[in-house]
Amino acid sequence: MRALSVAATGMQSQQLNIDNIAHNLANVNTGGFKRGRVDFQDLLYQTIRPAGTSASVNTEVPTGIYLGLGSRPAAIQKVFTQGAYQQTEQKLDLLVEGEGFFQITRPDGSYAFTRDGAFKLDSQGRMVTSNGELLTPTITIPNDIKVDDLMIAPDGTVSVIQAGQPTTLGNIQLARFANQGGLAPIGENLYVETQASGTANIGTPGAEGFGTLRQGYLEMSNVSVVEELVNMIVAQRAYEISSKSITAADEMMQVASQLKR
Amino acid sequence: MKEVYQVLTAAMGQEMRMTQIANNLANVNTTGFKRDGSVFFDELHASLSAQASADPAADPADPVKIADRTWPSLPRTYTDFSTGPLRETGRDLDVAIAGDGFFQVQGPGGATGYTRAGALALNAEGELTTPDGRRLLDQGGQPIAVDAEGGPLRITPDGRIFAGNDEQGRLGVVRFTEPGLLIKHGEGLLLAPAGVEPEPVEAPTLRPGALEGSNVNPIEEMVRMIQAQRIYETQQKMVRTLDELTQKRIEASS
Repeated sequence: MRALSVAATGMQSQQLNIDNIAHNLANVNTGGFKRGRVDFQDLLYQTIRPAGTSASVNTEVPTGIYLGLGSRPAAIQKVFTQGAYQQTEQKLDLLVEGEGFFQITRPDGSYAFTRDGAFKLDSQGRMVTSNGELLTPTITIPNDIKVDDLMIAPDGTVSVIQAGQPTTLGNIQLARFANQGGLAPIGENLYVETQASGTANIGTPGAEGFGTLRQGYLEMSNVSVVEELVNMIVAQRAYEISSKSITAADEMMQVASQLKR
Repeated sequence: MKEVYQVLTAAMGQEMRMTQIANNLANVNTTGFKRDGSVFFDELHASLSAQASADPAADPADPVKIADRTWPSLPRTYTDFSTGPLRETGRDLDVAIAGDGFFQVQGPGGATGYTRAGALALNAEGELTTPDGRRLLDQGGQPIAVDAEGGPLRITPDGRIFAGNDEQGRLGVVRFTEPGLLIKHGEGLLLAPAGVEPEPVEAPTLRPGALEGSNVNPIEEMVRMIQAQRIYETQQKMVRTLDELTQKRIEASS
């Protein structure tokens, strides 16, 4: 009875769907988080009888017999829509309005990318993520400058007014990718580039294609609780209904096995 | 005893139908999936009546002959191409076809595949692909390379792709006069058998930021499932009854 394994693929697909929804919901409050979405596909079709073969004298089977063998997850796509804005009044909180990632140097020297702009200062006055990883290019705030006096312009210029004159301390840059959907999420709000994403294209915020920065705001998660809950109901029912196929196929086999007394 | 085999063939048909229903239900959440149905009809009718008319000695009133003529078939499968529900997703590279038509993609072995699942992605070369990496084709059958430098990607309702204000290419949408002749390949693809040619849709109506859901209706499938299961049960009872009749005949003659 193929129906048993066909239904099992349906249940496995929906199980992965629920796993993904659970991950999205667990990150409903994670700054800069982008929700994932599972895309499903049907599995291969088994040809019992191809179309166009002869059924009997002078007749041709117009459509044939093709049996589908279930479903499978094809991909989990990250959906890079803008998350909600949260005003924080923190001078080092940055939000990217539009496309672009902050470039971060990881402890091993490799680059990672994030949308989470909740920056802090380390002991040397450098801008770092909450995990202490360096924003690249490095922005250093001298010790004698109060963080509250910092100004970060939409184009990434970090400046401070000293003795009535604006002094530029550095420029924050953003990274864009030919295919941001191809970035690999590695946790801790970070993404790394892959062959599919292409290499990072570094540029000034506000330049063509790049988003602009907003100081004093953070980007919230783009998970919509209502949408995820609806998806969860759909996934759970889809799981349940495939389990009914298994029950029915099981009962049919039971009937068949009772044939011989 | 041939009645037993007749019933058996019919029961195999119900078993296949059950698999089909399980497949429909397993794909209740698959983007752009089209449900399959089955048709049953009597199989050997045509050939045996041809034989009977060729044989003048054959008596059409002979009950055995009549029984012979209607032999149950395995079900023929067909695909129901009705449109599935459109749902908004808000994603730049999601696009649904409102109404008739298919996107063209690079299928297995260089063949062109057809799909309605418009959850698109980009590959490393910047070409538009399906989620599992098959390249989408434009009206001319060429892959669609997109340069996303110019700004966020946007798909217009007539299938043109923009990065910022630069037009990057156009999605190829085709239609078939008889989509029923297409063969399901799986992985969301349909293949056209030899001799079946698509015709381009010059002005397609697309819904950017939306996807077409599966057109499987779970309630209808549940009803079909109950039907298949009960018919199967009845068929097994018939086998048992036929068995009992044979046994009685053996007992009577001994």
